[in-house]
Amino acid sequence: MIESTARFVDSRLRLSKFVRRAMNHVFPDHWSFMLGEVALYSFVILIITGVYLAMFFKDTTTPVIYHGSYTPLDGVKMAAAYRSVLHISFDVPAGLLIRQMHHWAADIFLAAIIVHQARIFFTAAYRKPRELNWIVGVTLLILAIANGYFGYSMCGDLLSGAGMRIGYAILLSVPVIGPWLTFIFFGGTVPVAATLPRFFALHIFVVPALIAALIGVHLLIIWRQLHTNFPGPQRTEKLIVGSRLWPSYTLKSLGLFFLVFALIAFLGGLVQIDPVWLYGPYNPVAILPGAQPDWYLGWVEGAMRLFPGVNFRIGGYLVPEVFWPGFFFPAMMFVLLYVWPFIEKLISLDFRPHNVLRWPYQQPFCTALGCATLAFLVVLEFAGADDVVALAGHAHVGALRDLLRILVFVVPAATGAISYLICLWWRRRRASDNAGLNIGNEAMEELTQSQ
Amino acid sequence: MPKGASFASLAFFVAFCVPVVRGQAAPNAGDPLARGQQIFAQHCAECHGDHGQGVSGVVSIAGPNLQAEHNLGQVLTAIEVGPSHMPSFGRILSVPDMKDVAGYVTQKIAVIPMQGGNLSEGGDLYAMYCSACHRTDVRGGALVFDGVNAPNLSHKSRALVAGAIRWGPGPMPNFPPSVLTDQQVASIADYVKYAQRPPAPGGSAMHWYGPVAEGFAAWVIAFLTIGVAMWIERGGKG
Repeated sequence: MIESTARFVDSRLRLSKFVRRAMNHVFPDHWSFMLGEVALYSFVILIITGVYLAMFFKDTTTPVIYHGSYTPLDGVKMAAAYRSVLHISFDVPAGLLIRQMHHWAADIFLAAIIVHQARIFFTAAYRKPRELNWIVGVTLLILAIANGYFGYSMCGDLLSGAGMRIGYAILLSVPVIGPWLTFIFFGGTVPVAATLPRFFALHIFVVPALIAALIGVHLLIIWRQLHTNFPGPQRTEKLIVGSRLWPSYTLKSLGLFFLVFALIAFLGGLVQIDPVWLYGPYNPVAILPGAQPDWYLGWVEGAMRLFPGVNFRIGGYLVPEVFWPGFFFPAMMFVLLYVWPFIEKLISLDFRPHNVLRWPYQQPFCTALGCATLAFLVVLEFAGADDVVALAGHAHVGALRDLLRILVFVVPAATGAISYLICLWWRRRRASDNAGLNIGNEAMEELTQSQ
Repeated sequence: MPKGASFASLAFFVAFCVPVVRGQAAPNAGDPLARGQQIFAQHCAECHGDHGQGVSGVVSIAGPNLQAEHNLGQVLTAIEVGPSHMPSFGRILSVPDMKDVAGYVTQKIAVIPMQGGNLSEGGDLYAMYCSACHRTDVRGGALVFDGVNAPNLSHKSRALVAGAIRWGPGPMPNFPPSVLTDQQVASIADYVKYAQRPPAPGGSAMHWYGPVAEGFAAWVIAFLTIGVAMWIERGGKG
């Protein structure tokens, strides 16, 4: 039965040759090569849960009076969008579970992207011929952050409304073109009814389609260029060692999918995320402390909290203080990420293609730079949550902020220096080991792994 | 013992024990509230006002609004010990007298008439007047000025919340009846009581730390997925 169906399809599409080659495609075995798949599978869960949510979400801010099953908000005037989110949370079957899984999947999607990208960075997998795929990956990161922002800004609760206002202020602060940018993205002066349909269209059609397309490109490029491999016996620039796509790699990957799904379902079912009903409907005059963006924008929030208030004019145009930490700084971070493979070429003066990776200790400068950047972002994340940290630690938030203004430079410098020294020490230890045993350390690892 | 000292102690005895005798001889012995009212008029109203509203001007420090002091234990302790500038009545009033006056204070004076509160109206008003410092989940917030953090309200009684709204302790502004009516104060107190233990239909609320805790949890799970990937790569062993 299966065979006859397969023959029927194959006689018309002539797929057998391609499928046979695909099934024999070799992927190298290393746990760190599966991190990108965690991101991919989070995205799959985002699509599945998002489709369900889109059936019930209303993308309008029309004022309505709530009379749903969440009685503490009974009789309260709110946007239709917020009412629909309450409806999803309290009345739609499994609505709250799906909503929470969607939000958790977004948080984990971004975390997985960062971990995956860190792996690429610390093993120098972005080198020729893979610069293009690095650029695709950075674009995916930006799109994922943007879509997360669009998503949690649509709920119409106090927290998301505050986030929308901050995004609006940042875009408005761009010199010269700021007002036009805000009219394109927000449709007027926030809060305005035109924003929500735009965010909705971007969130459920445009950005996911771009992400899906770019993931396709990402994987096709990997397919075409073959996967990189760590240095080791038989692992040369020309040869790839690992498991075939079918059956071993497919089964491994499928197992990972189910486990990612299980972890996200666990969070969605047992850990509350974004309790919009408690924040209340958005009201432009109300605000709350403890208002943080989702973690993947916390570093921008932190930069805005730490940056001193300096406004000045360039050629008659006001450059507000928000512009530097809110727009210029993240934009520069992404530009540096985009051009990093080319900067690395200029530093190492190595223009050859590489299919074998570097261990982090083999590239002390790059590793130190990466660690310092991560430390910088972690300090900024803390700065973005400084009021929560101050409250939990019974500290004075002003003093804490001043301390963080120092730490934001000291911690990355110290982290970079320490990681540089660790790399040097490790390299020396490896060199003496190899000299003494006359055997490659990676080969040793290979032996212990195969036992 | 020198003679002067014994005269002094006699004078002390006369000055401070006579009121006790008078207090014990108070009429209406059967009705503790009426007795409490009488004792309040005798000993407390001079500073705290006839209705506990406090007396401003010369003795402003001695006249905090009793409506913010709410429970029997606190009132009793204040009467007996005499916090700050308030004199101690521990040796002036008998224990039953102190109990009666404290009962009168808590049941008649330290009561903001809070009837007809409406939870959803309270939520709206809370977002307008309170959430900017105390957060919508009433867990308090850190404030940039003065180094004083808005306290966590998750263990405060309705009466204390209402008293604080009217009184404005510390750097908190006060909200007199011209700003919030008694009924609106009752609504806000209802909301605070509700938000102290709100239902968490979505599971663990992670101590209501909001997106910070959510981001932390997401990273814990992300590292768990790395562990899972390592485990799969080892063939599901150990």
